[in-house]
Amino acid sequence: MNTPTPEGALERVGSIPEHAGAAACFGEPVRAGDRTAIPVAEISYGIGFGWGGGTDNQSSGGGGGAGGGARSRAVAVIDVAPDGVRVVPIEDYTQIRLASIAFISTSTALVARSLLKLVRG
Amino acid sequence: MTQDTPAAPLPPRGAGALLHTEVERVPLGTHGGRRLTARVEHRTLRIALGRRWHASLSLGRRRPVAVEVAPGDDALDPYSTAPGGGRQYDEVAVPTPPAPWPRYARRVAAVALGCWLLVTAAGRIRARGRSGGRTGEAS
Repeated sequence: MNTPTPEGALERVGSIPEHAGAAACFGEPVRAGDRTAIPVAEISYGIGFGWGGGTDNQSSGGGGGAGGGARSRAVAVIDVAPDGVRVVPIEDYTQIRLASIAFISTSTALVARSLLKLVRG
Repeated sequence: MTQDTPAAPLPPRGAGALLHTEVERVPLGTHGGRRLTARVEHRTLRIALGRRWHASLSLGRRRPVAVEVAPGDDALDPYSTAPGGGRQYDEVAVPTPPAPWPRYARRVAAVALGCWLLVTAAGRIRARGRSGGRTGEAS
């Protein structure tokens, strides 16, 4: 029988999102009359882990750690109607506007800084 | 004279990366007389490196790419390995709107690069002009 090691435990923790099923991308179907809507999401994740050890003349030691995160973003709704099935994309206008405002502010600051450098030589 | 004890050999150094894509099929049930099956693309990038220490990073994304729509009243062909159980099916693509923040990061990077190139080019042109002027005075 294999002895459990911290490295093995960390690797198992790191592989949890990979073993989570693809069904997690779909929400519960919502029925309204003769139509059904199924929410669809995109799931992204990142997991990192590491460990190490060292020895010198007097002692030896080691350690490790892991961290990660996941995020889910609604991308579409499957609309099942009597006349057919269609997929309606979801645009997050709040995030789009926030990103646009951030882009305009950042690029204005960058261009202003560059112009100042050009004028001052 | 002291004799140095030979150092213990270091374990081999290594690094690797693996990009893996697989497609999974998820049954979504029968709705309105139609059997729906989703195709989900699962992309994973694994990076690992180490010597006496080890670090590993795993990035992944699951993205639904299409929905297969087949008549729900047909019996599935138990011997078929084809999508839709061997029956004819329609396919509806799942469009994924681009995430706004990665697009923002790319655009800001492009503007920053453009500004840096402009300032660098202007600085070089000025420096060349100054050195040219000095040469002209000397001759």
